[in-house]
Amino acid sequence: MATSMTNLWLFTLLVPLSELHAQVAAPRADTIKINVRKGLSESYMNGQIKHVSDFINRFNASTSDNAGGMRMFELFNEDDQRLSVSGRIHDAYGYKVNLFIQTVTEKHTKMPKRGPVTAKIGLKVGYNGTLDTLTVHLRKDYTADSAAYWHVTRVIAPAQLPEEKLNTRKSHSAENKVELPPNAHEVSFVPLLRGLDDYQSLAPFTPCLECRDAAWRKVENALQSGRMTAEAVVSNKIYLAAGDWEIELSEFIREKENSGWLISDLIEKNAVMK
Amino acid sequence: MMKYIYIFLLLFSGIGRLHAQPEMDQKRLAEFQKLTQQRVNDLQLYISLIADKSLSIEQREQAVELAVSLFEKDYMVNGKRRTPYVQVSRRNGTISSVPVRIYFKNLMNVKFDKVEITYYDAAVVSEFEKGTDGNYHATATYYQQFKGMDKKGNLIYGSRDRKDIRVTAQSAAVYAQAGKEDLKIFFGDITVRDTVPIPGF
Repeated sequence: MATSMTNLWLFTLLVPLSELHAQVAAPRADTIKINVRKGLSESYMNGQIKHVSDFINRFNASTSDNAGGMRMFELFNEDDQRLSVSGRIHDAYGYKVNLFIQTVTEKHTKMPKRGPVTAKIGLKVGYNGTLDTLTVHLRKDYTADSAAYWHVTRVIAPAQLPEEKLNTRKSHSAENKVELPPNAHEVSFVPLLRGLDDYQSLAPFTPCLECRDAAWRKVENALQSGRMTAEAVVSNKIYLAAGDWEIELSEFIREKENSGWLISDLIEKNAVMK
Repeated sequence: MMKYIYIFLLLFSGIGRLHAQPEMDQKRLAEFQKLTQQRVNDLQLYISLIADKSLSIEQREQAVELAVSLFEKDYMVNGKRRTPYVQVSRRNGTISSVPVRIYFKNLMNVKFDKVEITYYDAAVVSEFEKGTDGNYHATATYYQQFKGMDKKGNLIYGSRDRKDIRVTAQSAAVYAQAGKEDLKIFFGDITVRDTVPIPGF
């Protein structure tokens, strides 16, 4: 009996060890060490702001020290016609840019990684054989367990889109049974585009009921009926808050250092109230 | 009696391991950014092998399978089978989408005698962010230069593309059950943006 009990205890102790495995993060066994030809190293590849998180890092770095003014100016689209080609900034936008740089560098304004973010994207949509643009306003929200997601706050339907009769049964299904698909990241909003294609509905991306206005329902009906298909994201603007300012970011894919996510406009919040 | 002792011990021996999945800390997520770079390197290697016409068809088909294995598995939505796809945006405004497997097969069958693919040194991986599915998501970006040549080595077609790959770090179920949270990297949809055609083509 004593021997049996000892065996039992030893057996019990071994049970948790049965799940000890190598870490998943270890290099895969199928990683073949062959030199792939690599050689492109133009400066724009390092200089380009490829992701919004990269923009936030650079913004915060440029407001950390007193010499950040020039570095901040590099975050603007240098090809913007409103910024003088001769180096002299002369119009209202130029004045605003100067004021912005001065304010955020003096106050050492920091942009939070998980602060308020909104977006306005243009979707190329097909409807009965014709192509048009659907404008979608989005807001990034965070759940209680720290998950991020973009949700639709407003849509501007294409002008030519007619009213359609709602398929109530399908609408009910789309609104109540489909969970919000993961669409945390914003590069080209491909997950959103994919979701519209997969679900044929805006509903999984529009949890706020007050956002579902007449234009939203018009687009929703067209998607559900299959008459409208979302084909590509053709324009992409993101809005971030920085102190008393709202920054509009646009993506400039070009082969120069001043490229990627850059500031394309500024909005001074509470300008009159101050 | 012994039978009950066995059942008792088996039932309660694992209780100490039952707890909620922990959040991934920033240090661990940074490690997964590096792991993603390694996976992108693997993908770049497989793409080079797929396009290399000096290799046998079998070797290149094997490279297609290895490349596809880096991507998320097919999934079902609204009764339809879905697979990761590649969206190609050209400078002339055309945009097309094809499933990744078809994209790699097309690369295998390009009508050039010789193909040369060059990559930028390392992919830039965005910070991982938790999604509503509980997985972590990021984007890996890299540049690829493609040159298609004839038998004499004359350039017939060339372009430089920026590629954005959706990356999902999925919780590995076996580890999560054991209370040892860890993630596994999979690729999702790819966006290919034609940045510049090589001069003359």
